[in-house]
Amino acid sequence: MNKTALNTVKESEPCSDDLQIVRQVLTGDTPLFGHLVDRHKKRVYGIVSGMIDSQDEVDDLVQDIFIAAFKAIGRFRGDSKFSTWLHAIAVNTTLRHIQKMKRRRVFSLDNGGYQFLTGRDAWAHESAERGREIRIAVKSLPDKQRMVVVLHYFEGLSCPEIAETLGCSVGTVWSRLHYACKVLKVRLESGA
Amino acid sequence: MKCRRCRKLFIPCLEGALPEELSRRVEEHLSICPACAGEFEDIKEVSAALAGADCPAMDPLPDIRDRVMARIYQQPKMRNWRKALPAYSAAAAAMLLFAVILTTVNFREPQQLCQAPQKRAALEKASEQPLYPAKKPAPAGAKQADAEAPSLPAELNLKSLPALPKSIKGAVASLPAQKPSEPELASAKIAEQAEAARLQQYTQVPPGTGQQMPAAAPAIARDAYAECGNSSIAKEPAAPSFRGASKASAAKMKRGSDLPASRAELLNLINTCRDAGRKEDEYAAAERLTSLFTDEAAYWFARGQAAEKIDKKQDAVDSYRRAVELKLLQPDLDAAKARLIELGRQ
Repeated sequence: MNKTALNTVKESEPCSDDLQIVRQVLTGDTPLFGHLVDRHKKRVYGIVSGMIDSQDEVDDLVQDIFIAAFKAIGRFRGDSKFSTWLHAIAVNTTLRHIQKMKRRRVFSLDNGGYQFLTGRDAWAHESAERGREIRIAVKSLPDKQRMVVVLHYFEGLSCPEIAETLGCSVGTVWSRLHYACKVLKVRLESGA
Repeated sequence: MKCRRCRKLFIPCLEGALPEELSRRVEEHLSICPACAGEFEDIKEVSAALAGADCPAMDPLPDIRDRVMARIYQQPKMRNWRKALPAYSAAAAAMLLFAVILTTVNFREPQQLCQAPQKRAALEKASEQPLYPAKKPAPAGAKQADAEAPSLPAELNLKSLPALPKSIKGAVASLPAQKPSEPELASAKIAEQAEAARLQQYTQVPPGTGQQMPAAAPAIARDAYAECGNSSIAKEPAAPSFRGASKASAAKMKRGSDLPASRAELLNLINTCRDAGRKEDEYAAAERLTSLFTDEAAYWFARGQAAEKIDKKQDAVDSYRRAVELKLLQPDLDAAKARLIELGRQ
C-alpha cells in the first residue's frame, strides 16, 4: 500500500483503534478492513437509508461506500477521525447516487419521496408507519438540507461534526437546519 | 440585537452551543420581538419532533462485511502508479532515443550522399581546374589515341566520376550494417564502376616508361597508378582530404574482424596500406581481393607484388603466373614475366 500516506498519519496523535487498523491495512493487512466495516456499518446504513428508501439500493450503496473507502484509504491523512472521513464518503456517494437517479427519472413526487423500486420493502413499510409524516416531510427537503437533518437528528451528529463531514462551516449547518425546520413546520402542518 | 441576527442563532441556541452572553441577548430579543419568538417556537417544536421521531435506520445486512471483503478481493490489484512511474519513464526515454536514432540514420545518410556533388564542386573550385573536361564523343580512332597517350577510359569520362568515388566510398563505409536504400545501392555501384575503370586505366599505362600523368588528371589517376604499383607516381602527395579519409577508413576496416567485401574498399585499403608500408595488411587485402574476383589479372598481379614484400615467394610466383594466364595487359605483363624469371632464379 501507499507508504507515503502511511507516514503522513500523525504519530503524535493519540491512537484510536480506527487509526491503528488503518495503519495495518495500509501495510497490507487487508482483512482488517472488515473490522472497520463492522464498526461503522450501522452509521453508514443510517446515513444512506435516511436519504434512500429502497433496501436493495441501500445495501448496494453501502457496499460501494466501503469499497470506495478501501480504495481511497491511502489518502487518509489522519487529520480527522476515520469516522468523519468515512461519513464524508458516505454523504458524497449518496448525494451522487441521488443525483444520478434523478437524472434517470426514477423519482416520484406523489408522496414527497422516492418510489420503492424493488422488493424487500417490509422495513420501509414499517418505518413509514412509525414516522411516516416526518419521514415524508424530510424527504421533501432539498438534498443538502435533508442530509443535514438526517445527520443531525437521525444520526445524532453535532453541528461541528456535520460541518467537518460536509466540508462546510458550522454557520452553514445552522442555516440549513434553520431553513429545514421552517419548511418542515409548514409541511407537517399541511400534512396534519 | 436585530431580528436577522437573532434568527441565525436559533439552532445553536437550541443546541446550547452559544456562549452565555450571546444566549442571554437572544432571549432578551425574543422577549421583545413576537415575530422572532413565534419563529423560535416553531423551530423548537420541529426540532423536538425530529429528535424524538421514531425513524430507525435500516438494519445492516448480516453479511455486509463478507460482501464488502469479497468485492475487495475481487478487485484487480491496484497498481501503484508512483512505483511504476520510473519504469514507464525509462521505457518512454528508450523509445524516444530509438526514434531519434532511426530518424538520424535514415535521413542523414541520404543527405550526405546528396551533398557529394556539392563537395565535388568545392574540390574543383579549390583546385581551380576541372578534374576532367566535359565529355566529347569518342572518335573512331580512340584506340590509337590511347596508345599514344594515357588518356582516361571512355566510361570514366562519360560519367565524370573522378571525385565521386572517394566521397561516396567514405559515405558508404560509414553506413551501418543495414539494408541499403536505393540511392545507396546506386552510389555503391557507381563507386565500383569507377574503381574498375581506374584499374583498367592503369593497366594500359606502362610503368616506368617516362610517360607523365596529364596535368588535368590529378588524384584519381594517381590513385590508379598507385594501385598498379607505379610508386613514382603514387607517392606524390595527394589531396589531404582524400588521403586522410582513406586512412581513417582503412583503420576502421582493419579494426573489424573481417576485411571489406567491396571491390572499391579493398582497392582503397591496398592503396592505403601500400602508402603506409603495412605490407601484411596489403597482402591480406590483395588476397581477399583475388579470392573475391578470381578472374581479374590485375588483382593477381597486385597480390604477387604484395606477396613479394613479405617474402611469400611461392605465393608471389603463383600470383604472377595466374596474372599471366589471365592475359594481363601490357606493360604489367612484361613486368610479371620478368618477376617470374627473377623469382625462378632465386
